[in-house]
Amino acid sequence: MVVVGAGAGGLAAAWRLTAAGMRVVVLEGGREYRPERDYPQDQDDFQLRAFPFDPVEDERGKPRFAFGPAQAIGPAWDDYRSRNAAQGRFVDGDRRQYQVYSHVRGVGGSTLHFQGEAHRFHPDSLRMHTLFGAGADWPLAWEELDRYYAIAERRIGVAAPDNPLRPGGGPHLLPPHPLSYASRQLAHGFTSVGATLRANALAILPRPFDRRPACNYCNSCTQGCPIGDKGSADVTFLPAARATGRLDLRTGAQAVEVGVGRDGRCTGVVYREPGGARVRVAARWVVLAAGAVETPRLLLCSRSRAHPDGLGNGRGQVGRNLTESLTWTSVALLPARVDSFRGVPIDGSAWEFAVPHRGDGWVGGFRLATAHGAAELRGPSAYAQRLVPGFGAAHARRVRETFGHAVAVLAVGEWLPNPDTAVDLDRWRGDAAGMPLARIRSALGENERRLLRTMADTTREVLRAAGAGEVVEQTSALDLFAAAHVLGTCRVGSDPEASVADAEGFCHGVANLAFADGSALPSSGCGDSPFLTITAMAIRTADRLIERARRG
Amino acid sequence: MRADKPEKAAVEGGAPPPTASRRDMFRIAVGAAAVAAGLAVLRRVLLPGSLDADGRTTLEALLDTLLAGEGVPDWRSTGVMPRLADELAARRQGRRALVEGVAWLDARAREAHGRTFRALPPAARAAVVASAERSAPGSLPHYFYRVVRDRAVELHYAHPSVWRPLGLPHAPQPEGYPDFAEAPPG
Repeated sequence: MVVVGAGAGGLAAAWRLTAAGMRVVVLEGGREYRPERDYPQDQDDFQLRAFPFDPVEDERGKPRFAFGPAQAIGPAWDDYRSRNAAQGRFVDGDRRQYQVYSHVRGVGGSTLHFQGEAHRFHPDSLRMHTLFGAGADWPLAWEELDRYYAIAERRIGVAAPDNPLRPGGGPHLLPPHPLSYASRQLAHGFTSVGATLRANALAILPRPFDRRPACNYCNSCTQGCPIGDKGSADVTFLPAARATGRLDLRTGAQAVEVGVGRDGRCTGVVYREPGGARVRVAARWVVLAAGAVETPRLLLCSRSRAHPDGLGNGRGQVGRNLTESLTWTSVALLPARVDSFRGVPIDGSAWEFAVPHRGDGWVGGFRLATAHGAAELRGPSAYAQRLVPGFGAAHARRVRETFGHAVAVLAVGEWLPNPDTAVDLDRWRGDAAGMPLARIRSALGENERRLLRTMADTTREVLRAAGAGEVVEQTSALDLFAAAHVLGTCRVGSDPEASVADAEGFCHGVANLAFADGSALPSSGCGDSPFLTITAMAIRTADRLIERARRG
Repeated sequence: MRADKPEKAAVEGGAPPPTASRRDMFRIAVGAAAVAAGLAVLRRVLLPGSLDADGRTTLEALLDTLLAGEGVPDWRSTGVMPRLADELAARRQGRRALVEGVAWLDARAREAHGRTFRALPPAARAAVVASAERSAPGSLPHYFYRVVRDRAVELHYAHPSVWRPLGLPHAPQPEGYPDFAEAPPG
């Protein structure tokens, strides 16, 4: 069998399949990173080093993704646009800007630069349509998902607190990380808005586990974890899959087409090697796990007599229902130094507003978090460039006075599907292999705008009540598309007219094609990170595949 | 075909070309001037030049203004200039911003103080830079200020001789920050 994509879902599925005795070829378009070389975090100029993403351009200098129309913002939303004290607005003009699709192409995928958040979705997040008439219901019971959460947590090593707002868990969970000193200074602010700041649920090790070391709190998760305590897929699922001896991981292997026989079933995958040669891998089963942008692109590019509009796209559902994480971050300065550059990037979280409900003109919900590392406040460079305005002697003095005082509060909210947010193919631009580029179209619906306003106001109130000064930086999904958590473009569902895959994660009408990435998730989870849910769903689909394969 | 042969033969035979009239000469001159002007504009847009020695001195004076401060290490020791100049030179838009931005500084300095930017005393230089900072978003001085100021301070404060005295003890690895749950020292 072939798995396309070596990210969280692809490697989780590959681990489960190989552990069950299957031989699996994993095709990964990117490379295998080497932490000690690619992101050691020990250089004197560490502040200038971001995660070494593959360039956003391909080897010809052409972009890897295309973007659709930019949404108009409107003057009524000026107070909710991205800006900081030193540089002003991030986006000139009155249209939302596609900044980046924050996607890592390589072994481990986006878990290489994620911040370790390992959340369980609330049970009601699986029933948004039933409860609120919004989005789509999941075609499975939360209790089944709960079993797979536990399997994933045991494999990864997840540190999490008892959390009455997120049922499940158990003795397999590792003890939570203590809150940082900086985050504890904000606890009162959270209380003032009716929330409780708890330790976050994290795939970051508080003690050695499975031959991996404990975290030393360097706060560099987004730049890449150099010591292996963060539970990225390359240090959790990959070694276990390799240990079976049944994994064949091919890097630099860009899948260009899923082959289809006369009977409409998949026959394998064609991939392109870096030199341009095309290689065909025959397979009885194909699992797509290239992410919610590349997976629909591959389907739409795989046209055949049996599937003239793209594989699995007989009802035009492939690429629709894209959802993102709606994000807002407020940064302010506390009166005293707290050195928030220490710890883990998002160490505290509050789920009181992250239980699906009706709010002020919106449905869904949002999670609050302390996110000093996520706001990239790792050293004085960020203060000098972004938080302290001006130049010269007064600027230098103010940087000296304020360094170590900044704290960040993040809000992440539900994004409901809408017709203007989707992935399709760019008609005019292609990649080096001749495949049309994936085109990302993104626009906030009225629900997202109103929810974003509530999120922004709440983070500001948390900071104000905690005694912080005025907000010196705010980053908003209103005017910036910078999504990392993209979901839903091949969602599972009971109704083939409104979904791409069935309840077990297999393509409607193509029985030997399955999905094991964020594209399969029908909703975005009320502000929770989707990482754990993607891995849990991938393992579940792998189990169903094993059953089907054994039945013949 | 037959009618062409005598004409060709006449030219090959050395007959003098027809003399251009004054009007023709005028047209040619105007056309050449238009082409030259167009090429100059194209060259300016497509191939903006690099800074000359005076321009480089002006840029150094700008960095002196941006990165001044008591107890702050000299930017000449933190590697700002070569990296900033290289980055700007690598992009057409950057080269253009640099050349035109430096020219704007001098023009503004002459307008307000009657001297080039580099010839001004520190306070007058700061006033010129402040006017760039306050200029309208999207304008040349605003863009130039943003590009140079933002990258210069980022590069400068990324140097260990600048960040260590501010109380950041070391790079994130290999030690990490195991004291993260405690109040900062001091």
